[in-house]
Amino acid sequence: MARIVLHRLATSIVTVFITTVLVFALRYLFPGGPIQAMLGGSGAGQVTAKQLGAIKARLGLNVPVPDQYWHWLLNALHGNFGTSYYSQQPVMQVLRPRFVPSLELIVGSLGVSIVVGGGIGVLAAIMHHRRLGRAIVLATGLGLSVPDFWLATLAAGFLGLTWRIFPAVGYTPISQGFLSNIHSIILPVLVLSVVVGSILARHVSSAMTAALNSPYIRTAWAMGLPRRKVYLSCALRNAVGPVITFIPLAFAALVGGTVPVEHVFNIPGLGSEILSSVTNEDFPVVQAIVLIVGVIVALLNLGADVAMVAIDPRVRSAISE
Amino acid sequence: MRNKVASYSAAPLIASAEARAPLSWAKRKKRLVRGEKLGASGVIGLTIVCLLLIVSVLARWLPIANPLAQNLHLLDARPSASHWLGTDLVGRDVFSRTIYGCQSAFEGVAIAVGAMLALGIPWGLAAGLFGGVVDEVLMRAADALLSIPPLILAIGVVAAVGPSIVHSMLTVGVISSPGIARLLRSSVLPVRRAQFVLVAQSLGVGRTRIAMRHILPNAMAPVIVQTVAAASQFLIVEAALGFLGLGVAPPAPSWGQDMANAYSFFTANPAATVVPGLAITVGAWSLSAFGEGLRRVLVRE
Repeated sequence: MARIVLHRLATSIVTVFITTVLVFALRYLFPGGPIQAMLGGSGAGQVTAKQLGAIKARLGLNVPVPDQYWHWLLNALHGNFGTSYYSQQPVMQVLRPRFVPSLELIVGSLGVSIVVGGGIGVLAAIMHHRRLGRAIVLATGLGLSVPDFWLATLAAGFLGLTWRIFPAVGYTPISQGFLSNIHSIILPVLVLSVVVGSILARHVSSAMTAALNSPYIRTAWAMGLPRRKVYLSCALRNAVGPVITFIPLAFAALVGGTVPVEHVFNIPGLGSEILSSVTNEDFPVVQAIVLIVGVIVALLNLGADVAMVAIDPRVRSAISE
Repeated sequence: MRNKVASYSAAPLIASAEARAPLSWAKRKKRLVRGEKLGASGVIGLTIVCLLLIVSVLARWLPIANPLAQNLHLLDARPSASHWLGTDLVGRDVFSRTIYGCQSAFEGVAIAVGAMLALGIPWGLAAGLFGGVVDEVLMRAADALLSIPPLILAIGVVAAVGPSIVHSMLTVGVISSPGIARLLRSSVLPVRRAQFVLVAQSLGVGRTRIAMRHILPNAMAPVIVQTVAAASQFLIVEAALGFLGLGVAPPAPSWGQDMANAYSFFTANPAATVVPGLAITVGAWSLSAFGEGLRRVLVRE
């Protein structure tokens, strides 16, 4: 067990290392390079060689690229992601107030997806051959294809602007009352849950279907166990694995989803920050957000794998072989 | 491995190898042409995808309004006989723009699919064929790419080198290529040990030829299925980039961008927001339904 976890930890470190290289290299992927990006397309022609040298020196770009990477990495490990081009403040200071709203949306949607999506998935597996089961397959297929930003505009447009049931835009921080905070995030959370919940329902349903077709369930039926016992105490355990391995995947999907959804609902989270930073050509802020997201997903993957090893003896024996 | 195999009797080994052998392409083609196993949703999906492709190619010859023509006397109009879905904020016909939007959507998807396959196939093939350290390094790199959400990385690239739908969709394709690589690697592994590969080796067929003519075609089925499924997601990402103002440059019609523009005048003409989104949903659903049908046709379960 400890050996498996250590091995998995080592691979995670490699993964995180490659992620940092990738995020650092973002600016070098396409022609132009960082200076060009910073000056914007139009201003680049009017800069003299001397000014260029001054900019390079200020940004630390006058040293070899591997040294630049090392310097950037050491700073990033200390939580120092440089200075925002736009606000001229440290990037971390810009990002700090942005974490809570995004985290609320993501954790809320994860919760809704696991409870509702997982439940629907279990139901679809049990009702496999019935009309309800087929309806669920159809609905989750549709849920996978609906763009979340479209749902967001529909929800904010119809429920917020036309019928005025919910606040169309805006975010009330939790310090101004728990209920009004929940009221302000309920629509975006539901919108984000549709796609992720559908994916989870699919995963859970296929794991449950496989379990229900397996010999030990047949034995349970043959022994005359009551229906509830077969489903809840024998088959349901098989839904736990897909949920755990799904969490890192869902987190990544939700982070992607928060960008347009926070934009539509005007929620001051990381998603709207990355968008306004792109518009302002504020590369360090975008770079920091991409890196933070990548590292969190890698850590969640590590956590999910370790959890699977801990709870499922089949996974353990499969790895140690 | 081979020594271990030799110690067992040969007969059950061959039987089990045959049972696990991938379907032949002749059989797959037959199934596909007859529509066997594609299923109702697969057929509907394929039909809609074909329709959308035809419409996007023929758009300029269809008897519809010019998607760029502005009518400044008729802004944000509700649907009427002359403008089926109304007009947008500068008086352009929403229906016509939705039809033309197909083009940029499929162009974006094609760029991403091309990048994904161009990188993913050699990647997975190398990992599966060489094994060992090469495999380990390639698969760890795949993990790293998979831990960043495509939309976020595409935004990162826009921030780094400026807005360009080609760059963003290339990035989306590149970041999705590890999925293809992993899939191809896992389907190459059993084929690599199949008997026909052993026979080809013993006949002295070159290594490149074995890889390209014998192993790759027999390992491609899951990759094709995954490609169609990925195309469905790319359609949504392309629209999302447009919606965020990071997609094709205006005034070119684009589902995502038109939706964002229409949303700022939602109460005046809701149809202009609803319909482009519906087009994205229908396109993405058709691709994924076709993909699932294709899985039933191509992959033995």
